[in-house]
Amino acid sequence: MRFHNAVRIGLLAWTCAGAGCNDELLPVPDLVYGLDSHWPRSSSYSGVGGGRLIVTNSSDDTISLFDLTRLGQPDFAELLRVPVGLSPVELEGPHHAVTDPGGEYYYINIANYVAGAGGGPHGPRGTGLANGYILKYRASDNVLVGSVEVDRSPGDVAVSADGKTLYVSHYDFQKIIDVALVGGPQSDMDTRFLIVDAETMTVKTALTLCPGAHGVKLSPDGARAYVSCISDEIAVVDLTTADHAVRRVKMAADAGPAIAPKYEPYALTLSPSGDIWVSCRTRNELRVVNAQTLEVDPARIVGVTGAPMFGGFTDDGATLYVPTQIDDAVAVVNAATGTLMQEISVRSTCLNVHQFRFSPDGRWGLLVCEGDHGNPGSLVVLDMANGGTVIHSVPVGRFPDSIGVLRGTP
Amino acid sequence: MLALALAAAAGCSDKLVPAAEFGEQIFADPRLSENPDNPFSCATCHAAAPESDPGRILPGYNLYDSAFRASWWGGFEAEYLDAVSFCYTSFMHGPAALEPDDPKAMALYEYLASISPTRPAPAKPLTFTRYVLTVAPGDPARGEQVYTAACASCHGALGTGEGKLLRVPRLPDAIAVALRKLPSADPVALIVEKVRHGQFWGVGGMSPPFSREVLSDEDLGAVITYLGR
Repeated sequence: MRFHNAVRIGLLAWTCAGAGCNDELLPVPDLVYGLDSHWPRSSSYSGVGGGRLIVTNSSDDTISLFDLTRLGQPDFAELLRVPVGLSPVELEGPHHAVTDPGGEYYYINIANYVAGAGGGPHGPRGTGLANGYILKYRASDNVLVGSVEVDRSPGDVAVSADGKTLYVSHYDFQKIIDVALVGGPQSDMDTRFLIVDAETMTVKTALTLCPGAHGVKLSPDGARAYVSCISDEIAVVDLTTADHAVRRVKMAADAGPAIAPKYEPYALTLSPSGDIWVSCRTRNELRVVNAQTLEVDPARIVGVTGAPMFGGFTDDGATLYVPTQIDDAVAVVNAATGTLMQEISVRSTCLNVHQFRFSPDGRWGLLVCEGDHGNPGSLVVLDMANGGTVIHSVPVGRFPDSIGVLRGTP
Repeated sequence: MLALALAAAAGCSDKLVPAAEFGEQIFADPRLSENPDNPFSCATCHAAAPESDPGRILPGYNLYDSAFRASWWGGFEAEYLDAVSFCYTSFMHGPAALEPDDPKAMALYEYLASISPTRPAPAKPLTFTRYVLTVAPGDPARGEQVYTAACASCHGALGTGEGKLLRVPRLPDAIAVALRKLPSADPVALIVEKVRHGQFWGVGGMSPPFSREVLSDEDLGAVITYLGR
């Protein structure tokens, strides 16, 4: 038997009595413990190891973890399925994950969007009525270590290079609907862009941004944040000044309003040179905003055959790979000329492709495929040295919608 | 010697209590929560015996053999402490999650582990309805049994509320109050939502949700019929 904390408990009891405690408090006697450990963690997770892939399953309230070092190997498979969220009762819709550059943490949006979740606080995409959250998980054991309440329907989240700051957009469709129903001005549809201290998980700054904000990317020097806005524009946030001035860049002269966009910017892909490639879903187009001039480059408007989503560049910036939904393909684009060079069909293995990214060594193309939202989606791996041949297709949870890479090294 | 002297000065017994024994006591004590407004103990919603009492329909699973399950809350909690802490904060209004090295938490664990012989134990399913639908009317006699088994321990006797817990409303009064706030609501749907969603999905209040595993649609229909709806 052990005698544990007897002195401390005794001291507390004496202190409590001296202060005139509430008699309703539960008196704790001196205890003798029969066990050496309490509440042991049941997971046998081995930690980050050589790196992990994180896939958010937005209709399952889980993430899927993969061993990065097993890419290309016959035993490549889901390593662990981890439940995430603040409530084990309601499905809360984890939507997009971002990893701390130091590999210690990962951050997940709780968007309160789950298809078929019912009415009320968890409506369909972008119409949730409950505020969202950013959850902070410790990567070594997947323990929730912090959270911060944000606005409704957090869309995307980016992390600064030093890991100290998070940038959160909000894809709040409900706000657009509510304002439109009463004939309010578009300015009332603007969502906020939140800048969060990642260490304390507190909101440092809130900026008025634009309607239906979604994809967030930081410039290579960290001086700007770029955010796609459903109002046919992107927002450019100056992160170097105290007032964080916001500038908006229209996709075209005939840009539409938030309630009827003609281009519908949804995702952003940043080239290594800093140019911002905008996935315009309604037009099945990619438009390039020059990072120096902050103007759309008319010479590089790329038509694709489906709705473009989140893409990835080769390290040299020469080639962009963008997944396109409807046709479920990967468009291969010459970044310098804005020419569509090839389309890699993944339709046979990938339904509703959402994101493409390269593995850290550039060897593999990683695709997350939403599936039909009622059945499991998939993580598909392409062999980029062999024309993008599919070498893995692994089932994950329902409606997967992002891939994060944790502590991968080239 | 100093510890004993201090304990004596505090008016405490010098008897050392086995943690599991204290854990069993606090399992049934609402003061575990430290929130003076909390009327619930773990025992309000959970049995902790090898066999469940057939005369009780509890919203929570029997916690006998619970400590070493593969997961909890239908798979949405991977750690036992997190599963218990969710109850502690959501239903018992504890100020924060239980700390694993808090003496009360340690005692509670020792008790729960002492009644969990199966290692490991299988997880249990837990089905919460998302979209709330109506249920078919049932036998009011069965409904009275269900009320006694599932509702009376918190809400007290129907009508008088005799035996109810503090701060828990009487039935059917609470239904009437809710309908005055939501005059266009279908009474059956309102009750179904409250029972199935508890305080979640924006419903609010204190009650836990009753999953389909613990309360069938048939029994729910029966008790709604018994309530006069």
